[in-house]
Amino acid sequence: MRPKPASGPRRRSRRPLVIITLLAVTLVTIDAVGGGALDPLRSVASDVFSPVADATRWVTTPVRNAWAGITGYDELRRDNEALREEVAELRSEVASRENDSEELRRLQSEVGIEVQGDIPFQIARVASGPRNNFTDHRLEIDKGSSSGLEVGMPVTAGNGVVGRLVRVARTRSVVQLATDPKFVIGVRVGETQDIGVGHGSGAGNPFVVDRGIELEDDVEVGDAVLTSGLERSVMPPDQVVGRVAEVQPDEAARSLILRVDFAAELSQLDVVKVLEWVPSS
Amino acid sequence: MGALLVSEELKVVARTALVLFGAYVLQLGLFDDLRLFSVHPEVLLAIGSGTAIAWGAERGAVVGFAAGLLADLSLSGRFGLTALAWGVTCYGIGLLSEGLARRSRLVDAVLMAVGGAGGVAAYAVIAALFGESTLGDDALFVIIGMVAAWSMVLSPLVVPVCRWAGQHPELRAAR
Repeated sequence: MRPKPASGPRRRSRRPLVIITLLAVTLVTIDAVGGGALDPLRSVASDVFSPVADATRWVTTPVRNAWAGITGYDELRRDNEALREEVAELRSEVASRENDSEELRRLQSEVGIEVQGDIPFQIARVASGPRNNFTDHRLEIDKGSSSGLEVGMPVTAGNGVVGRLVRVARTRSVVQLATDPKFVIGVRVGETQDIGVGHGSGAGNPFVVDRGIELEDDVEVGDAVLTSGLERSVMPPDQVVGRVAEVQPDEAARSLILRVDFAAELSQLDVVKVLEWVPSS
Repeated sequence: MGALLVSEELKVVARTALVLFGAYVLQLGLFDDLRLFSVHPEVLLAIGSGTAIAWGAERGAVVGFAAGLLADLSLSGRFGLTALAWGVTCYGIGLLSEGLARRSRLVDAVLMAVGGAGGVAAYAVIAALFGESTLGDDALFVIIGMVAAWSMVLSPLVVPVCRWAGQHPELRAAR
């Protein structure tokens, strides 16, 4: 036990506390009123610190891998088993889809329907997951404006919607995940062509379509849900969101609430596709 | 004599900045991935708490605020929320530290844990006031508990580093 050699009693100044409180409130207000007015500062910081952080990540790879092995071994084994089963199912599905696609192309050319060309895209790697310990529906990818990316571009993985770019620095971009309750998009039910509006409902939860699908509409569990791509939509048409897992009638609103399982595995993203498509303002 | 003191002040600022930027890079490059029960350590908050424990409330508040600003650069919430939460928390930890008659490494570790828990709780409350759903987060108490535990574990490393960063001929550390 050591004595505390403090410099004796003195009057406590609250000035630093008052100053930092005023400064912080000013910054929060500027950010709130300006709608992300301080985002450029974050982008510059991202460009400056990312190379150093990447180098640190490279140096600490053995430590991080060892940690992941110790703390996530059981989970990895379960994931491995589940993935093996999924790969087997997908292989058979791919074969069937290739056949369907070919047939569709042939029919479209016979009938003369104009098909929208494939949207050009860029492949990006997930640089880091959510940084906040609290639920955070954002992640960072390793490409930015130097690769031609822009705010608003849609992000997909395995043909399923992942989210959209909300901040783009020179070499990094931030993706708002589709699980974010503030992620709102127009959707279309593939089988019935009914149009609705849906939003995220938190990490690990399904996508919820709670507007636009009427009580009488014939939507069933298993139906595919795609982006509608209507005018002023933030997503291009026909991007797969997922499949309906639950249909719940809302008698008061005379509508159906659809809970949709995401097609993309949002909790285990490694590589994503950024579509070079910007919503019309 | 005055010039000497200004030079010492500058050295303190430079050492503190070095510690903060070093902690920031380590947070991004290592600690963000060291998750236990999905919670990673908050090294920058630990630096703020460590400074408050070693050098008192005023310096703790300033360093806690600066640490929060750095953290805000890589978070997606309102810019300044973390700075406010951590600045206030570190001021409180400094007051607690100054009020203790006897000090030991164990006491420092407990204060670090209180700083970790307090910083997360303060962030949750302040962020909720600005419309975030932090108080409704299912894992709120897990996050508070785990960040407190992580801060306690980091204490033997962080407090001496903060004591070194703040060395000044006119000030004496709390022990």
